[in-house]
Formats: sequence, structure tokens, C-alpha cells
Amino acid sequence: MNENEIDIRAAEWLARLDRGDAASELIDEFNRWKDLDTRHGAAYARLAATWQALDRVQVLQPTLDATIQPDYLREQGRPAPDRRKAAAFAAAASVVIAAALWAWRSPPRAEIYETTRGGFQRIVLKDHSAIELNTDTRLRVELGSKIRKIELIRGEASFEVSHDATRPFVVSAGRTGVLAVGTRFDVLRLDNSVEVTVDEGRVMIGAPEMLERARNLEPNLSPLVVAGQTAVASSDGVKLKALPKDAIARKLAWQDQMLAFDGDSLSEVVAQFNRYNDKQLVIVDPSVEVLKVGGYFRPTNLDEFVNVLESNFGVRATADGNRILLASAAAK
Amino acid sequence: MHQTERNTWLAKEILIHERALRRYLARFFRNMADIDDAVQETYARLLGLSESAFAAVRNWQAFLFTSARNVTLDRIRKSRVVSYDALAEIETLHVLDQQPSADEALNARQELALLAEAIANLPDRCREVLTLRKLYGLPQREIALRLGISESTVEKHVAYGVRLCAEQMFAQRSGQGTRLDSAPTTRRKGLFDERK
Repeated sequence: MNENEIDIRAAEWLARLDRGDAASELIDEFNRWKDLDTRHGAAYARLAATWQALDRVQVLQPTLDATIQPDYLREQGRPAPDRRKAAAFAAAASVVIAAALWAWRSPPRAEIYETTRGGFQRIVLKDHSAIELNTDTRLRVELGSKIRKIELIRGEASFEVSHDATRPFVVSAGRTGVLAVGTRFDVLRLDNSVEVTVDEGRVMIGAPEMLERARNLEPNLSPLVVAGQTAVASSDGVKLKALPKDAIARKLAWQDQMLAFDGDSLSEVVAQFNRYNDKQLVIVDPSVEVLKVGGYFRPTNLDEFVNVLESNFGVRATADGNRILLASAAAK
Repeated sequence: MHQTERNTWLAKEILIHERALRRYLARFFRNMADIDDAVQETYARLLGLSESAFAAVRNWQAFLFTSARNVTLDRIRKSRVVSYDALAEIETLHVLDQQPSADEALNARQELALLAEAIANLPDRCREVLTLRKLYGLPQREIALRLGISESTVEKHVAYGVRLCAEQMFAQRSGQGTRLDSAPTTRRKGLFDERK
């Protein structure tokens, strides 16, 4: 191997930082080293890219319950004798690899459940876990002997997971996964993010394929979300937020087929109603957007809500085909 | 660019050409250490690109070799004894002739096999450490406990292991760890030798 001094130093830094407990002084020292010479950063980036690419071997992990074998790759990693020598190395194909490996396994029978707009459904699975589907939701359930896999294809669902440490319960929504052993939580899949609210117990958030291999909730692997917290996962990462009990209750009021608000802006409230109804509310007057709305409403009972807006909030509603336009009653 | 994204970009667009890049540089540098140095300098230039310059690059492979060529030219100009032959030759070389052939591209399964193989080829202790770290995702501290060695020893194995893996995956030169490519690097006599 090369004895390039910069390369050696870069590897030392990578290994040190990989311990994951670096104090800020150490990170400062690392940054000083990196900034000393552009080649330092380049050598480090090359090794960091290698290190990251190696994460992909996780998909080779024997099985969920297998004991840890430090020597596992010794034989498994040996090439087949006829294997072609390869030069090119596209390390970014993690998704493709995971998908390919998934396809190999013959999956247990999967079931699809769905609700229409304004619909609601509660199902109890064979393992006694319960799932509630909110409006316009579609999900796929696959109960295997080693793992319970749920794919939230769209919409929102709450999960009451029956405890079974030998069969982790993994909910995936796009690139976001939630791992639970026994707990109660809610997953809302939006266009560019996924919101996970934990009502009871705790869950782990991470890439679905990683979670499906995780044996337990391992806090050092991925963020844990505990009861009373909401996590928003998007391409920017995972943001955690603590919520008071009543805020959680409001968030989950849909389980009683209600919507609950406490000083939410009218534009947020309208967005909520529009998830449940074909007839869409449209705010045409910016001055009413910021109205603060509180109370309990049945989401499919639009007329009632519009009446309240007109009588108590100074809003004028005008029917327009399949839309209801909302403006300030004071205007004009 | 976010660090994870940058790593992915680096591996996917740049490092896959490192072998070819080294072959190219071997035309001008006799000394292995000089090649390492030129590779680093080339990467440093790519990573130092401004956001707008970065966004403007359409073909990273061509850009990589052009950068390497510029690095080489700079070195030649700075070296005390300027070889006009070297300058003449580098001006006429078509950098894109250095592309790895298309059939060298790997499918996802082969890539995975190569990664596993890079770890499999490590010396015993080092392989165990990287297996626990990467296959099982254990933190260094737990690896130390499990293998009954100190954390600083684990750290040393990680440092050594990542360099060896990078070498196998991207550099593939003669010497150790060449199971993936037993063909010796064909190296012409260097046109000049920086280390005199």
C-alpha cells in the first residue's frame, strides 16, 4: 500500500471521528488540519467516500436473528472463481442493491388496505397489532416470520403494535422507515416529508432497509423518537419536536374521526379539511389566512365548518362548482 | 453539497476512474509517491471548485482527466529541469483515450461483491473489525469489548482498513491486495521524476 503521509493522516482522522464521541476541540483540530492544505481535505474525502460505500455490505448480514460473526465476510466475501475483474466501481447504487436483494427473497403474502377520501378503517392483523387508516390512505401489510413489514404507500395511519421482540415491526414511507417492537405511533406521509408521532413507547427512524436488519432499537444507529415527540423526516434529515400531551391528542383526533384545532391558522385548518373532502376549500383573500381557529369538527361535515366560519369568524363563503371560496366578509 | 452526497458523488463519478487516472499519470511520473501526490492534488482541485463551476460540469470523467493533465503540467513547469519532451507529449495526449471501457461497468450485485471482497481481503484482525463495524453496524467501543482489544487498537484497524479498502476498490496497484486485478500496472519510464 502507499505510504503517502497525507493519506495516513486522513485515515487516522477518519478512524478517530468514526468513534462518534469527538469533542468539539477535536473537531476544531480536525478542521484546522483539513484547511491546512487542500490535499488534506481531498485525501479525507476519498477515504470518507470509501467508508460510506462500505456501509452497503449491511445488506449481506446473514439473518435478523443470527449471532454476530466477526469472520462472516472471510468466506462470503470471496469472489466466485470466474468472476470478471472489474475496474469501474459505482458505489452509489445502494438503492438498486437493496431492491435487488429484496426481490430475491420470496416475500410472504402481502395484503393491501385502503380508504377513500373522507374514509376511515380499523384493521386488526393476525399478530393482534391494530392499524387505523385515515382518509385517502393505502398501505401494504406483510407479516413474515422474522419481520412485520408495512408499507405506507400514501396517506396516514396509526399503529398499535403488539409486542414481539423476535419480529420487529417496520413501517416504511418512501425513504423513511420506522422500527417498533411494541408501541403506538402515527405516520403521515406527505409529498416531501414523513411525520412520525409517538403516542406510547418509542420507535427508531432510519432507512427502511437498515431498520429491517436492525435487531433492536439501537440509539447509536438512528434517531429514537419517544412518546410525546413528533419527528419530521425529509431530505434535510430528521427533526425532532416535543409536543404537549393535548397537542398529541389533537393530532390524533382523526382516530375518533374528528379534527381538533387550537389556534391553528385558517390556512392550516383548510389544508386539513381538504384532505377529507372532494369539495375543496379555497382561501381567496389573504387577510383570512391568518385567522386563528379552535374547536372540534367532523372533517367530512364541511357545511357545519363553513357555518361556523361565517357566523363566528367574519368569513364569507361562496360556492363555486366543486370549491368553496373563502374571503373576508368585511371586504367590499 | 451535503457530505453524504459529496461522498456518493465522489465514489460514483470520480473514484471509479482512479485506476485509469493512475495509469494516465504513470506516463509522466516514475515514482509511485509522485502519482499519489498528483492524484491527491487533482482531487483537491475538483473538491475546491466553486458551486457554479461544479454545476457547470457535464462530463466528470473528462473534467477529471483534464484536471490531472493540468496538475501534471504545473508540476512539469515547476520542476527544476523542464523536459520539453514531456511538455510536448502531454500536449498531444488525448486524455479521453484513458476511459475505462464500457464493459468494465458493474451491476449492483458485482459492486456489492467487490465491497465484501475488499473487506474479506483484509488481514485477520482488521477484517474482523471492519466486519463488525460495517456488516453489523456496531460502534467502535462495542467492537473493542467484543474482541477484547482496546478502543485505540480498534481505531488503528479502522484507519488501516479504510486505506486498504480504498486501495483495492479504486487504486488497484501492484503490490498487496491485488486479487481483483493481477495484471501489473503497465508503466512506461516516467518522463520526469520530481524527486530527481
